[in-house]
Amino acid sequence: MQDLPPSFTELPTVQRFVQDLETKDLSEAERHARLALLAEFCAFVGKTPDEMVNEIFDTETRKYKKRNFYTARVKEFSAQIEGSWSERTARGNVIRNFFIANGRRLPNETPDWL
Amino acid sequence: MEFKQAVGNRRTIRYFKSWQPVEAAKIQKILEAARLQCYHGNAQLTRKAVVIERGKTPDDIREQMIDALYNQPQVQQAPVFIVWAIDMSGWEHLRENLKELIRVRALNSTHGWSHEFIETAVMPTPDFNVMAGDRTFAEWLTAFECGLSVGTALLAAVDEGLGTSLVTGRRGQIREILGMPEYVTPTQIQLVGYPAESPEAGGQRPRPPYEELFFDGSWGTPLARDEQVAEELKAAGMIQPDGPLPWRAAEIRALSQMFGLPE
Repeated sequence: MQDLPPSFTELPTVQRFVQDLETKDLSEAERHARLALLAEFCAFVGKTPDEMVNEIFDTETRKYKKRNFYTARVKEFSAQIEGSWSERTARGNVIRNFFIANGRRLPNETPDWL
Repeated sequence: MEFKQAVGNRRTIRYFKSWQPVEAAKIQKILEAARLQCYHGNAQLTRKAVVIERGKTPDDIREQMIDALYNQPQVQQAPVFIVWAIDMSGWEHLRENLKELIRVRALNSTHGWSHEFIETAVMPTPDFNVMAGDRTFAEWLTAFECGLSVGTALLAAVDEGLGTSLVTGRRGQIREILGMPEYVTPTQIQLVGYPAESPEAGGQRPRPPYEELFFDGSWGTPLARDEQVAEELKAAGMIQPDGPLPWRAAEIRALSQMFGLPE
């Protein structure tokens, strides 16, 4: 298991995500895998976690500003792997969870049967 | 179901079986229960509701409503929405409604009621005829009256073996989607369906201590709680084990995987 650099894990938004993961019934390996996936997404969009959280929402107008951008990137990120709809959605949901832990929400995927 | 059990079983359900429709008779029973709740001045036309049903209401209306309710997962899943609304024009019938109560012998001279009393005392007094006074108070009271019906509708849904919950949305958008006139304001939206989560929904929710909510004779003086009574209510199913139940985290994980939601 490759350690993530402190310059990543010590960011305030990542710390919030870590705290959120600790409240869930997850093994250490699962928690680490989710952090690694977040790091992979950050590389994919070329932003730090703090930058993503800061730019998705305008705290003055209290409105989302780059929500569509991140929604589309998460979908692309999900589609990068082979597998079932559930497996691909679970990949994107880790990023949605990161935003949720930081008080922001991206629209969820809905299965065809819904 | 016994009343105490229905009160105890009620939870805010956030996961619904989207694939299982709610029987029309059950929806009607919920609305019939709401209709029978008490009204200030018997102003019966001040609270109303629009029912949205998956597979019956046009899809575009339902989809617009889901958007107006912030695309929340439980809204996407629930097969029925009951959009509760206050209709301020309902107060126009207050005079006739009160006279009707005299006719059916609900209001009697034992308490000073007469047609003349309605005309000369009730109608000019804002505490009774709320439209004669401050509009804010009138709207507050109307919303309160609507809430009485909604509370009953929640319990009626539980009594029918259904899951239910309340959500808010963008009121202006909802008014436009449903063609409500400007004197009508949507309030809470009741979601109804068969629960996909267990009926316990992880256990009873946290509540403030009894003594912090209810006072004895003056504000702030705690009203003592009789623990023996509380034990009786536990036996009757009204007071149930607090959440989270031991299996709740696993249940949420399974539900999130089934619906494709973030855990």
